[in-house]
Amino acid sequence: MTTPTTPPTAGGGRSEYLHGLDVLRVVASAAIVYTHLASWISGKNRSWPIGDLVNAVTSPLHLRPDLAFIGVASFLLVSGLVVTRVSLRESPGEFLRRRAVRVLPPLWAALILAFAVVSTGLVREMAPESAATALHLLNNAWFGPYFVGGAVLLPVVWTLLVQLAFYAFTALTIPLLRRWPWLPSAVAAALISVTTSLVPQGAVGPVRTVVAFLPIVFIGQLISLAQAGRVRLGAAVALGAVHLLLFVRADLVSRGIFTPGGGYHNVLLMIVLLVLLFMSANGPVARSRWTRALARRTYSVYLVHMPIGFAVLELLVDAIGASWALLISVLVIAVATELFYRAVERPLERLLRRRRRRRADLERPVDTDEPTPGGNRDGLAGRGADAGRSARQGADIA
Amino acid sequence: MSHASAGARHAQVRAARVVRAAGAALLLYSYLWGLWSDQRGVRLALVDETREWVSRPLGIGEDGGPLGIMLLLLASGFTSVRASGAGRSVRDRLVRVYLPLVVGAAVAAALLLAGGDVLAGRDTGELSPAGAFGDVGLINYLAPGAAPVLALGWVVCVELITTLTGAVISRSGGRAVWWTPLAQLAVVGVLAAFCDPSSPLALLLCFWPLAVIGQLVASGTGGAAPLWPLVLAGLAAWGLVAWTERAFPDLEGWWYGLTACYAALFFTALVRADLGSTRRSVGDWFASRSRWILVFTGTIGWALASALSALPPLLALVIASAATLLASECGHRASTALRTAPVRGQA
Repeated sequence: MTTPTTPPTAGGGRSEYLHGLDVLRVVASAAIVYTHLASWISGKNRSWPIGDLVNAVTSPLHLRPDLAFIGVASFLLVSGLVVTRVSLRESPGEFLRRRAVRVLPPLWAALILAFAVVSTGLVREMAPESAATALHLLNNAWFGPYFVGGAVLLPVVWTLLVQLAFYAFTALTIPLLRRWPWLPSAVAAALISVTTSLVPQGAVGPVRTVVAFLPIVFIGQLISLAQAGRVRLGAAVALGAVHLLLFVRADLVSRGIFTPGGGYHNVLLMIVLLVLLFMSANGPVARSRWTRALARRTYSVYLVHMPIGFAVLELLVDAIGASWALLISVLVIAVATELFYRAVERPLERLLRRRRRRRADLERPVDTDEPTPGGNRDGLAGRGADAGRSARQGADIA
Repeated sequence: MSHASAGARHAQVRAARVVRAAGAALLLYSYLWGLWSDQRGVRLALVDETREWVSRPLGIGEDGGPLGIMLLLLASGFTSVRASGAGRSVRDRLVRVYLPLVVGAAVAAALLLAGGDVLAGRDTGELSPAGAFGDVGLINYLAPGAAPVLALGWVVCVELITTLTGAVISRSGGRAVWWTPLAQLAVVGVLAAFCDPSSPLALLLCFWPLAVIGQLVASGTGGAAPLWPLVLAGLAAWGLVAWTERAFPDLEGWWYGLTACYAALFFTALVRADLGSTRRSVGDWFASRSRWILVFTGTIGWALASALSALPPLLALVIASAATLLASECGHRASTALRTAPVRGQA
């Protein structure tokens, strides 16, 4: 669906790095931070001119208050898109292993951070002080609160459940995805529909939440497959429409998942259109080092902004007012993100890169050092810097 | 600032045609299937389900009719710049835009004389066949209290303005790429600020910025201007839609700001995408007949659906839709023959 700048790869798909998606990821993470900080302030019934202005300017779009859901929808959509590209060149085991290494250790580190902050009693909006026990920490480490109940230490974690469900399904269907690329998303649509029908509206547990939001990730998958030329545009649009309707249906028939007031579906459609638009963005901003660097830190921002931001707001808002407290909170989040990224995410990135390089060296034919047509030495689809970055894009998002 | 290659420009024009086709199809569905059945108190499962599952959740009002008009205007703005740039005669383009309005008004007048039923505008009073003269002179779309016989004729008014301003952009180049769209936005802003809230200009002013966005996209994707200032101008145009929606009480509550956002994003994404195949399709057919569909939906289609009230509504609407499309085909062929006749004579 985007302008082809490189020829199709040996795998049959185009693999150029989608620089525009980095911009979208940065915007999405900013939106998530804004939503949570602004909600904290409005939850305290404090007047905040910038928040009022943002809500007034966006009111013709009938969004949710404080730009809510924009960031989540963007992340889920981009995740489905990019992870699908990665899944086409990894074995199921490798795919799951890499996703797990990317997602879980940073999550555990963030849970320890959240545990420490919650124990100070500064972030009661996030979790009560009583939740700061070793038992709760262990329970959160395996998403226990969503299955067996208990306090949630880091409320943003529910979206990771949606992503992990998608990763598991994708790993299982990688052979299908390669042979009949349209089939996994069609099967997923059927499964989501049946599950929505069978699981009672008020059922405890994460199943209903996961199936309510899974269609967004599959829309991302379909965009990816259409962009790579693996699924016809018409088929992708039809299947994408089915997933959009499933998301609408989830809202119509669910209780306690969607906040009343609407604004979910129009946001999703807007984000889908923005993703399509940004996929072809290739200008200086999209390609800049800063955008790239910020995009690499979006998962860290996602994990640390809530405990750090809420704690700073709690400490400062009475003393210096909402606007200044928010500004300082954003600065502290930026510093904490950088530290978290350097201490947790970057070492993992390096570890994965080393392992990939080692594996590539082992798989390289001994009699030749020439690149294979349409692929590079380590077997990745595509050639050159963009192809390498394309592989990393998938790794980053996961 | 880079200039788009010939292949890329061709793909962009094709995308604009797809958008125009989508707009025409939405118009036909909205005004004939949605509005006509509503006014007759007819319940159609297709329309009800579409409203329940698509229109309401996504905030697309009036069964997608305004969205269709916005898509047409975006494509029109885009084409007005590109077609003039490709050396096509402005006069020929004006004729191509204006002729359906003249024919549509005449058909509406004839139907009214014969006692038929045509689609009336939102705030118009008693329709009279003589009103066709006001439509052809465009006065009915500008003067307060007028009753146009062609309810959607105001869209053609915007297209005529766009054709002229697009030619200015394309032929003057340079700073005209900036001042022509900005001047149009200024005109919309001033008129919306000072005109009567119940003015028939309301809809025209609310939708005109979409055509300007189409022109901005044409300049941006054609490499005629840097991207960021164009994006800011596009945001200003969207802001005007949102503001006029609030300024005119008749327009409030229809969520035109959201619809305009969908339309502009869809259009821009499609123009920047590579649609690949160049073979002719149903979409091309709809695109080339879009103005005829615009004028015949509320006249021939509407009148026929009303005249066939003895039949089941679904059947009446299928026949009315087919007749609208057939009439559009005839209109298109006749106008093509008319426009190419002098060329053939010279040959």
